[in-house]
Amino acid sequence: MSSASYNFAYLSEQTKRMIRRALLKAIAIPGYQVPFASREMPMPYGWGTGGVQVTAAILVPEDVLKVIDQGADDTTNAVSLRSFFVKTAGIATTEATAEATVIQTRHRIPEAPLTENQILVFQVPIPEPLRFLEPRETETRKMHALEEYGVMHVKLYEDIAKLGQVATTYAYPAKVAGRYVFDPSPIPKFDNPKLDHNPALQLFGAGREKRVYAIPPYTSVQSLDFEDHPFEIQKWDHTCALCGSDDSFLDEIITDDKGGHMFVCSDTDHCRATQEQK
Amino acid sequence: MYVAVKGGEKAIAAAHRLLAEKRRGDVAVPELGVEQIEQQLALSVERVMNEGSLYDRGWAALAIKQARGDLIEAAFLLRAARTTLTRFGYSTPIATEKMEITRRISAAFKDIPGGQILGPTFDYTHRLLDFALAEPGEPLAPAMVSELALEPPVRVLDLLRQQGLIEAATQTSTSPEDLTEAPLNFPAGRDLRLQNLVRGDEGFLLALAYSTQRGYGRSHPFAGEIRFGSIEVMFTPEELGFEISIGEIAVTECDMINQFKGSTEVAPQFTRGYGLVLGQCERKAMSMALVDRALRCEELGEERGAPAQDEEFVLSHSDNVQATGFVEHLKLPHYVDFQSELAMLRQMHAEIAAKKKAAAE
Amino acid sequence: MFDQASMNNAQQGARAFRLILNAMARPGKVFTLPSLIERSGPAYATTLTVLLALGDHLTSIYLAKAFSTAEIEKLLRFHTASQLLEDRAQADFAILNAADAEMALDAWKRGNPEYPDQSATLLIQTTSLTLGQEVQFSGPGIQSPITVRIADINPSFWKARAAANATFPLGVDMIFITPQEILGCPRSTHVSFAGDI
Repeated sequence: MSSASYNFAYLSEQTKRMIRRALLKAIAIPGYQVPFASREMPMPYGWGTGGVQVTAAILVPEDVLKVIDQGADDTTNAVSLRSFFVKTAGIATTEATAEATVIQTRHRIPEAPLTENQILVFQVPIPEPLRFLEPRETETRKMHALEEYGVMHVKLYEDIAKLGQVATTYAYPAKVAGRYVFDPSPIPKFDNPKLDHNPALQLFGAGREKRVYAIPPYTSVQSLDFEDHPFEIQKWDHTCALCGSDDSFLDEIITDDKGGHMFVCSDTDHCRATQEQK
Repeated sequence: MYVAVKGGEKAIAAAHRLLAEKRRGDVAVPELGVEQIEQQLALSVERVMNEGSLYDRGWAALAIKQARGDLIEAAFLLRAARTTLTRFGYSTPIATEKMEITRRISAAFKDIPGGQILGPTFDYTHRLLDFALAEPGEPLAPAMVSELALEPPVRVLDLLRQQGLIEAATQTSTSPEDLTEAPLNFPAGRDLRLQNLVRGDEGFLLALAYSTQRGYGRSHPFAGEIRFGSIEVMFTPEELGFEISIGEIAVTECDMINQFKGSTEVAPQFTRGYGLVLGQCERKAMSMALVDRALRCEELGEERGAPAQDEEFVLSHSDNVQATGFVEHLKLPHYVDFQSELAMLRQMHAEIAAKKKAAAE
Repeated sequence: MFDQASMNNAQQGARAFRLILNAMARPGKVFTLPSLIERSGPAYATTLTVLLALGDHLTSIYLAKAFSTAEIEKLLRFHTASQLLEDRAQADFAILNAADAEMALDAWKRGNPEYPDQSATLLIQTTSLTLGQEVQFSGPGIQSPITVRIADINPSFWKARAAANATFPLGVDMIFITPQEILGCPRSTHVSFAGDI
């Protein structure tokens, strides 16, 4: 039962309309960053206000919401954001990916494949893939307009020349529907393949930077690479110590001060489900 | 056997309880009242109103208490409260020429119509810690206040304008844009720049203003006029169709007179920098005026190069609520991305080791 | 404090928007849209519902001649506070009949290269989304090419649309609307006739 002193999902109807209009344009222009008048939220900028505004704008009372951070439902910020939505929207929540209709996430895509009935909302700190190559928005807007992504290719190539490989391991840039280069948020590059032709709608919210963008379902998302240095995801020499999974993203847990460590699934729901199957 | 640590929710609840304890402090000490903050820490209250972008002394005082004195945290609380308020519309532009003056000075002239009125100011105090303030004070005798002119004094810059010595104030035919209704795009109009600066961090603006005085975008400023006092806020509700006063606010206005523009052909005129803030935040009003002038460099045909002249840099980093959010967000878990970096580094170490081994063989 | 009536409005508005969102994310699929308001003259309840969900004092609406009734204008002003205007080049939204929709398709806002989002969304009323000339939709949001039928559209409409949207990302987005249903057609959707390459 949501608190009677908040509007449904906290935001005013006027704010929601503004975000909703931006989301529709984002979907019509896949990968393009739509500016929106981000509001102050009760959590700090940089802590998920963009994701929260997008989720708040799309939620219906019938939704079942999952909130994860680093792939886990129980990290402190995920707990905090989930309780915010329970308080202001009264929706049901779940930790089971398969049961969720809306999933808000920071820095991971769930391991379980998503369906057409699901929407994935990403929290984005810096939406502009070219930002660290060109700090000015006035310039990067022009580069996107002219489809001039040379600086990015040069950067990737310089990595290869200097280090033997591309040094970008997360927030790995990709081209959407053959047109816009975008920043998928700081998900590990391990997750990039999941962006491509996903049956679910993927929405991205950057509150502080005031941008939303979208990948419609079944849309082409190609991570940038070179013919002689094709895009590769991370691999581990270990399997998950809890469930034995050999194809999920693994967290390193330091177990003692002598360099002892073990690896477990970052996606806690995937780990649980795999363990239950055994 | 490793078991994933759960209990994030419990940890958060415990942290909040601990915070409440720390906020209260030693219970033998009397609890701080919101009215005390409002009255006796007025300059903190006014700073929070500016950066919180909301004129409400009581709420700002409460925010300061809740934030345990952290003024940026308090500004954040006020901004978040502001978001929930219903908007009725826009007031009539405030008429600062009708200000009920508490303080009014000009550095440009020795004396001015209406007089130089010092008002309450730290300016000429000797900065010696006054230990007498550590004890509750005796009731003060009322301060002597000079007889103020019945008419609000004319603006110093208007006097210069009458003589054609200073540029006209910017006139626009369109309504000003609202910084909170649309995201800021560059180049930004002066209306949006000024809105951004009012709610900007005082320390950031102070540093930028200081930099212009030290040569990073010098503008030869003179304080034409600084006035502090109260003005009425007028609003025309649609149902009434006429203007009513909805209250009084205290503001500080600063008109800077800056480097003149002109030549042997075009009669030179001084240029303006403008600052307007809530309450008696003079440092902020003056800094704002200096930065406003610096950001007008292109409009005035000056070369842009100093940080204070860099519109995108200044306006993108002035908001301390945004800034602290992002800086402090580094405390959030980042272990997945860090793991990705670790994996890459380890791989590169292994490759180098393998190369060295192969070279040795 | 918000009362139950406002809360219900917010929830109903959310449901309506969710359907519009899905329609744009999955072009070519027909979605039933429950109405939030009654029909007014030639304007379907569904069309007005879309405008209620999306319009406010920051947006502008163009009404084609058939829809410029006093009642519709009053209704839209009251419920959305949107500006009603006659200049197509400024309109954020427009209500059109499918039969007239291709007229001056290049007159609408299509955005600019740095801000292609500053473009119009056309609400095109049609009598049916099950009968009518067949076309194929493909592109983002569509798993494999989908057959779409929209009644009352002139065959030349699709050519005009292709011309207006020829320089992606500039373009105009559309929602086709019947008295019960909506169907999304963003500029990213490629429309071809069966048999086209």
